[in-house]
Amino acid sequence: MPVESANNRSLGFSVITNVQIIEGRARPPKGRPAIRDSLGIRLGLILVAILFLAVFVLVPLIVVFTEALKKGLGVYFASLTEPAALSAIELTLFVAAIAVPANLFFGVAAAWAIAKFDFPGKSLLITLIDLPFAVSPVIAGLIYILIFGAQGWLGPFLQEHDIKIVFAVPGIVLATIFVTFPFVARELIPLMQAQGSEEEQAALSLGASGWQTFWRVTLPNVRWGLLYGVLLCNARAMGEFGAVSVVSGHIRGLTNTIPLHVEILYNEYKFSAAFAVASLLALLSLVTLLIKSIATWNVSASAQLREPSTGK
Amino acid sequence: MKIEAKDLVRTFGDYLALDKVSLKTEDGELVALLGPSGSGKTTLLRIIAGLDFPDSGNVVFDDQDSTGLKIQKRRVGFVFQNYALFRHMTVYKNIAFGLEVAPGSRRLSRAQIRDRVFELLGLIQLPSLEGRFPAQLSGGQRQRVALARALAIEPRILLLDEPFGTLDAMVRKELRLWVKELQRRLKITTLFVTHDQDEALEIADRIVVMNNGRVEQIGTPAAVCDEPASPFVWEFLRGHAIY
Repeated sequence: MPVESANNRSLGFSVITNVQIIEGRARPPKGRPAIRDSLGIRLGLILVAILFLAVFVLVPLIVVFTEALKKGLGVYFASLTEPAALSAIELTLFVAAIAVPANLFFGVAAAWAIAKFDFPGKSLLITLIDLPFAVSPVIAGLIYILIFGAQGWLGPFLQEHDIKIVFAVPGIVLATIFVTFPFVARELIPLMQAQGSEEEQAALSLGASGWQTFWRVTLPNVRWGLLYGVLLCNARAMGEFGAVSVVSGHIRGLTNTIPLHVEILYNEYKFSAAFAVASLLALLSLVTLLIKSIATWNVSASAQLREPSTGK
Repeated sequence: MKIEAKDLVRTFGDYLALDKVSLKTEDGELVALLGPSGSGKTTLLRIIAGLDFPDSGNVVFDDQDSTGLKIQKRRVGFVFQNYALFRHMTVYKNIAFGLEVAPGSRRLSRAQIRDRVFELLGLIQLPSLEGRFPAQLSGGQRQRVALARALAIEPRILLLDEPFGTLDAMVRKELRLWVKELQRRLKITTLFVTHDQDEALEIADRIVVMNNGRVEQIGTPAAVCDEPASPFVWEFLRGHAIY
């Protein structure tokens, strides 16, 4: 191939691929992708990944459940139904029931503003949204002690009016909201940015108001991402330890959440009870992952083809 | 309805997108905004639609100044370059959207909406695809659904942004003749943006040739071809002829 070799000299790199293509035609490749590592490397990588997951995820999960059930189902359920445990479960559900809707609202609002509009201070807002991820949860808790604590900025005022925030339920709610703020917003921002605002503009041109556009176009388009964000937010809200630990005060039956209750039980050498309560959190994360997988499956399914359905 | 633009100026930062652009259409005319990319034709279309607002100048609909009118009040049918169909809605729901969001006093009954949607589906010759989602349609079908969705609100004018831009050559030719015929039948004043000379020459009643945010010439296809008003128009249309 004289032409090819001439090109090869003059154009160098780019033509080398050209030559390979032509050689490829002469010797047809056996149906395989162009990029392929040797069998050994592939097996090795897969093995490392599986081993890592087994040691760091699977084994601890199994340990939680075996330890929890070690002394039998009786002890297991007794540890879950004793008053202190029940009150911890109740408080955790209560806190999540406030923190998750609050962050659903804030997260959607922030994501909408960031993805669809340009305004001064936008990059600052993006940075602030990430702050709770960047900051240690202990510091997140301390912030609230410094503001609302007896020695804090608002301490004297709060004492005068007999309002308790830290070492009480409101402090736990505040700390949880702070720590879980980024989940919904972080999930939605890239999704909304990728979708652009053309569909919204189309809705407006068809006479829809801003609200109608939001409820009928913007929100339905991000519903699976939103569900995932809410799930992660919820899992963290129920499982948060650090920030809540600082503001809680660990008052049994009053300001103990599930993670704090687990710690107390563990420190009191009540291992079976500790693991039993911990297994609740483990179950929560398993359910979260399950729903998340269904959501992801739905997203990819709807991205490819949707089942035709009747237009009502 | 007649559309008039008076001395429209629009800047994006330092960039002058529209430099005192004026034009006037007759009722029921099909007008092409023709020019290379960056000439300001899409900006002009978006300002007429109410999707963007000029720094100065006026948009006039039938002798009524509409420069500050909100897009919802303009009753313009806008077809986006990528169609912007609602991806989570069926074809039926897409077309019905403008009818369903109308305020209570003006909203049609469900049965009336249904009749209107099926009428439009007939008009775009896709009578049995109402249950499909946009992802299940071909490019040409999406384009027609976008057109039906825009027509559902009985717009006073129709604005098309590069309506055939993403279609392959065969479908393009077929569809542009179909759009032309439809526009004739509905007698609706229509503005469409294109960078394709042949497209403009083939179907437009008049052509607005734009370059660098300015109008170079406004005239019938014959006029811009035979009597170019500037070297740019001559250069831009060289080698293209009316069919």
